[in-house]
Amino acid sequence: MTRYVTMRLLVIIPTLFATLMIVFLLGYLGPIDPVTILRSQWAAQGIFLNQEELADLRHQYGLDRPFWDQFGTYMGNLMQGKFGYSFADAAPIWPRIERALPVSGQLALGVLFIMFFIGIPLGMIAARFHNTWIDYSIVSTSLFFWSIPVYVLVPVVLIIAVLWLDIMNVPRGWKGMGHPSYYIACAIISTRSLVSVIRQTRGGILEVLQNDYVRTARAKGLTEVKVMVRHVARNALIPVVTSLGLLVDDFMWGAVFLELAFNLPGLGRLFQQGLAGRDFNMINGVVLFTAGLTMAINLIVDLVYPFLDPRVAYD
Amino acid sequence: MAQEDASSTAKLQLELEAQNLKTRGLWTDAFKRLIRNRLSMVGLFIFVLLFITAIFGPYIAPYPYMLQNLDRVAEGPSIDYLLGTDDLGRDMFSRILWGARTAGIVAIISTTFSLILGIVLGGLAAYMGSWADWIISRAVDVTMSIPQLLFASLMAATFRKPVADWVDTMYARTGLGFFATPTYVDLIVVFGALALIQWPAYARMIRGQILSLREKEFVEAARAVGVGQVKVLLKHLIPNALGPLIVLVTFGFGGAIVAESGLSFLGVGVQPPQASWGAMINDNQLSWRYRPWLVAVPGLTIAIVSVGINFLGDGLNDALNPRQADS
Repeated sequence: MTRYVTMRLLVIIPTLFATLMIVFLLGYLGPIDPVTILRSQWAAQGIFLNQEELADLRHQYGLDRPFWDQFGTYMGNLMQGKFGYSFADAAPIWPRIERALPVSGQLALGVLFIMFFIGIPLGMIAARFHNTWIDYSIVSTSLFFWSIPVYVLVPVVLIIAVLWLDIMNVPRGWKGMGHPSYYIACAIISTRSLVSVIRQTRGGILEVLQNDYVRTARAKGLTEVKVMVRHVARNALIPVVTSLGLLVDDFMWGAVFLELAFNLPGLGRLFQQGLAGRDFNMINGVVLFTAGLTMAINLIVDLVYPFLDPRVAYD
Repeated sequence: MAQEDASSTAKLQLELEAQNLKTRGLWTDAFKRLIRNRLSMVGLFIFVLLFITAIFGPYIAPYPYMLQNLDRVAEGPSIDYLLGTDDLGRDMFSRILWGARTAGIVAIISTTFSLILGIVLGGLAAYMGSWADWIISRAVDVTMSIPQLLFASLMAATFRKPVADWVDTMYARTGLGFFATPTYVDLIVVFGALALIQWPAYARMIRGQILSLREKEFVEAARAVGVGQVKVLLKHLIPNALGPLIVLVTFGFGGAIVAESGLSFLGVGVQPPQASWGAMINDNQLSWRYRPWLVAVPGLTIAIVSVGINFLGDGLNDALNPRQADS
């Protein structure tokens, strides 16, 4: 077990390193650097910089140094737990990520909640009524919602709920978990993950139902509920748990668009701001955090796996 | 004599049966299953319609995509402008038709790019094994651990200038009109970014398919009776791997269209004034309250196309991989 964890960690560290290097390299190669953006911002206020001043600024930020030099400095700072400073306003990056985390975390919590309490039951119902209209409607409705991207869903929801039905105001800004806007945000951002869960649960249950031990359980007179809960669901939900790592990707897809539209101060908006301002340190910070999170979730899932499925053991 | 007759009749019957069996091959069966599925037929219709629009749309569009009529800015749908005009007085209907071309080109070319990358790298990983497999698998892991949208938008932002420079030098050198159009810069950038995020899915599937099919009993049986390497590949491996691949490619089409619109929405994809559905949503986002159709029309178009393609993909999945679909 210890050996397995060590091996996995030994793979995660170089993978994260490679990820960061690719992202850093993209920023380094990119035509527009933070100084270009700063220049245009100042130009908008009537302050025009000449080439020498721009070169000075680049030198000051260290942007004129060779790639390995810049990357080395960044990694060195990272080792000490420093995420660097924003190029846009010279504020440190980490406090901003730290402030964004609770917002993204609470949204993610809502998504998880919806997945477990709506996704899994719907998947079980679809499997239980396999090849009936109930199954077909659950499967096709979920595929329908899965197909619609968040940046389409947001304006459509706004048009329907605000303009037509007039049941709410435009949800802008973060108002905490109790506020109705939180539920709308969660509902919109969870569509993709919800559908993945429904489909996986349904597929898993249909597969498990064909096993002999299910027939045995029924034959010995267990009630259908007991068969489903004790024998079927436990085995069928293993693949659902193992794919939790994919959630981060779906979540970030949605978060970038949703937080932009509703002006939520989460990780997605930080990334969008970083991208718009070519604020490399900000982009690196967000990517590092999300990539690290994906790998951490995958590792945790693998470690929990033996408890879900006793046949699997790491030596 | 009578015995001979009987045996020849039996032989004939066997041959007939064999013929009958032949006409009900893998693909005919799959096709029949696909046709029975009404939703996927609707999907197929939308899919075909998208590509017809992508090819012929610009010719049937009533106005050029850039033409502004400043007398009739931000109008609702009318006979002159079927879906209204946007804030700059451009015909929405024409822009939707032009946007179909953008979406269609992006879907086909970026999927082809990533498919080729995936087949080559996935095949290499499966056949070479050892270090090649290790390197390619790690590359897949790294690419998949970066949230895809973040990666693609970052790449699209980075590669625009180099590609634009390259296109300029190509124009200066060759004088081809093709290189004089700034649209192609956007498209090349988007193809590149999408191909680079999509190839790992293909590579992983192809590697997995080859590795698992190679160990299957029917391949072993074919080898045991002396079927050659090439024939095993052509007759047994490829037809069996093709089903899942077709499904993945279909979903890939839908994914590419949604991703292109997403990049354009964020402002790093196809640039204005070129028509892209995502950019159209972004352009008109602020006026949703007063002129909702400006946002709703491109939004619903993306939604319909994406839903249609995914229903087709789902139907294909049921038709081509019946064992997986049943279980």
